[in-house]
Amino acid sequence: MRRWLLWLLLALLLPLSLFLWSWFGPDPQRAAGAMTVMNRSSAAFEQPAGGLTPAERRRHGDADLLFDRTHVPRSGDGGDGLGPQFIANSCIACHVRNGRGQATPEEALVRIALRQPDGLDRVPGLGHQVQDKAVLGAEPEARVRISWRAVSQAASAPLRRPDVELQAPGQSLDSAAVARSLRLAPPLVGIGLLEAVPEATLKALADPEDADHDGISGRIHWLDDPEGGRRPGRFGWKAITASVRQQTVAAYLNDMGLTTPVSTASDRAADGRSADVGNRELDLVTYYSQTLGAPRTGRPAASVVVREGQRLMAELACARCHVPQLRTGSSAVAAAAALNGQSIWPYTDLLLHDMGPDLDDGVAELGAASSEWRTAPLWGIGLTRRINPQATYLHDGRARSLEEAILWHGGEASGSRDRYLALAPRQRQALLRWLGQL
Amino acid sequence: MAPFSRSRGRLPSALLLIPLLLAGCGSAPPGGPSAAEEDRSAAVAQAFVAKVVLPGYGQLAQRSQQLAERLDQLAAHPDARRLQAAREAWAAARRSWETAESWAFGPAQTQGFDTNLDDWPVNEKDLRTALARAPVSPALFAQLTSTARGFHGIEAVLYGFSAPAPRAEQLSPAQLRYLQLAGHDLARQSRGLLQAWQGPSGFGARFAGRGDNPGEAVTEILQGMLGTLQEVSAEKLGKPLASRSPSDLESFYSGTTQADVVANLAGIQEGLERTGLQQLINRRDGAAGRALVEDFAMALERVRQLPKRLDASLADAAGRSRISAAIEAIDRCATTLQRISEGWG
Repeated sequence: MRRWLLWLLLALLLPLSLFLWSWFGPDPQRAAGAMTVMNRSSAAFEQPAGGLTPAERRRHGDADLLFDRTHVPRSGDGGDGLGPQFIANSCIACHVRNGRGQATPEEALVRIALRQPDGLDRVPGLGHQVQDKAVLGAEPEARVRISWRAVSQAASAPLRRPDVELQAPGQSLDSAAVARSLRLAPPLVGIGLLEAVPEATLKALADPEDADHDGISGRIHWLDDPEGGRRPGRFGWKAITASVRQQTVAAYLNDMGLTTPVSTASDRAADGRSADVGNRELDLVTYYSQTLGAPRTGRPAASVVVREGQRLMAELACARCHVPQLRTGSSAVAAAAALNGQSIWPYTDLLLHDMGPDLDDGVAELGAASSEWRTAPLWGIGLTRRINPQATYLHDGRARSLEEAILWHGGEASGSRDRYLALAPRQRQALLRWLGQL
Repeated sequence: MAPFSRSRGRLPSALLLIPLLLAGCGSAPPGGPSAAEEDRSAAVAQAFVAKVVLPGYGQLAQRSQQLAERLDQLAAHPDARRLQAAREAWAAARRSWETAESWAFGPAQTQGFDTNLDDWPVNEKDLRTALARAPVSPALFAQLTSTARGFHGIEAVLYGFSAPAPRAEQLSPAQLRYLQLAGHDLARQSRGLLQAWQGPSGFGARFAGRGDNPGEAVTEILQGMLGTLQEVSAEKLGKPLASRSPSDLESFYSGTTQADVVANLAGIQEGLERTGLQQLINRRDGAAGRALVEDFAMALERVRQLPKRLDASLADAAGRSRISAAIEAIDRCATTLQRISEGWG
């Protein structure tokens, strides 16, 4: 009789605990934990994160107006100081619906460097980034034209890569002398959560000397911060900024020609004049980005599609860099309480990896070599075409499909690519189906 | 004894199946739609494209072309009658565009049409600089950013940067030439937008043909409506109300912001009523459907009751109170629509 009661007790407690775990425990379908956006429409990336308090949602809404704002040149008391040269006049001009931009001069930018082994030297008169548009009366630094060249790749249909032509007044910008790297605006998915992943986690994932001899040697892109310390780079294709705020400042200045304050104590820019974008607006636009979530995946964790996809990710060793699950830290000064202590499924390690010569376009940035790229987060990637049917993949948009993106993987990822190529068509489709529901 | 023993042995095993069943509840997809509901969703998506979007963009293209012709006539013979005809044509084309706000997802937003037609605020500096140069050549026009073209660029010149609005004889040759170029550019963009939705390979066919999951198309439609309500509340009314600055009113050169927001809500009404969407919502959740009908009617009534010239309303307490009341009704409607949309996933 007592044994029977024990069974009964077990039978009641176990389902209860599993039921609670399934609701409140980590669930890969809730890719951003409490901050998951349950909407998978083309507006998914534009939604405020889940889990925000009413006050946080209101602040996010106020910030949204500023993020969407179109900037114009100063005119009398009006205008914002756009230009004189710029790449875009609003954040959403490139982050189309907060998703990927297209590989066109209207929505992408071009980073450049003198063609030297280290790929770091600035181009005289132009710097590291081409401002290809200008207000009336000023000249763009250069005009950009993009054309596509077919390249053959073993065991696949022809791939393509961009040829970027630069026409600058009175200046020769021969591609033999100036390397150019076309860059799409990456989607704005869960970046506040990525900012909240503890530095210790990244250190634990890093293996710069490939001590485990698996051929993969991710390393942190250490950046000097203004206070004299070092912080891991997290944002941008080469992890060149450490925080959402720094990334926002860089976008205002380099992409829109708008100055920001040098300190939070005053609205003065580096040139001593009143900054085009003051601290209040900078704070809010940063907050907006930090409080965007990531969409729920299309299929539940228990589905065949997810189980098969995750198994293949592990077997192909994709998951060594596209690390499925991370956990955010806890901070008393987090932009939103929901950023703390979340189990998230971004599929990135935020580390730099050598991706081989085919993705090496000759332009290095800070401590990231020209062949090194940060592991791109995969969450939300399945919504790319729903948000923007013309969008393509990889840093320069050369991949017209997820499969092409996989085939461009080289260097440390060449083993994964080769294992993908060795899969039966049905298994390849299974992996692509899984990616499509992220 | 033997039968009892067997059943006692099976009971715990059966009980242990419960966790598996319950654990599955947490991550399993919500109960999928029935085939009949999928058919009804597919019919809504098809009707949305055929009865709302294509006719709406068709009207925009036709009215934009008419505006271009009126601007040509004004440029050829600038007089009061032709100026008035051009302003009326601008307002008619503008109404078509604002009605279409709810279906700006798709090519309008991803192929640059929205930016080229309706960027805001106006880049007054560049526009004034261009107009100070005579003549305004196609090459010069091409150098202007989207904020110095489109509906609002034309509006700023037709109605003037500041009151009083110019008389026909005050329009300079550069202004008249700019209006011609901008009118034809607007007509070309409007035609391009219509074409992007049309045809067997157009966005409309892809949108309506989501055979695998027509519910997704319904979610898109609901999200488009929701986005419009949020934009009207926060940006078109809320922002100028907070700043009390007339220049924060979109379409403030012509003083037609109220007409814009009425058209925005009219577009939502078309989407609900001409596609069977309202019936679909009612069938799925009668209470939510009734709430949407009531909340939407209230929002529409309140924006219709707003004064035609909102710039004047910003200056007095009674006017601001009416704007606040409109915002409140729109927010309420948006909350209801949000709840309905979340139910669709």
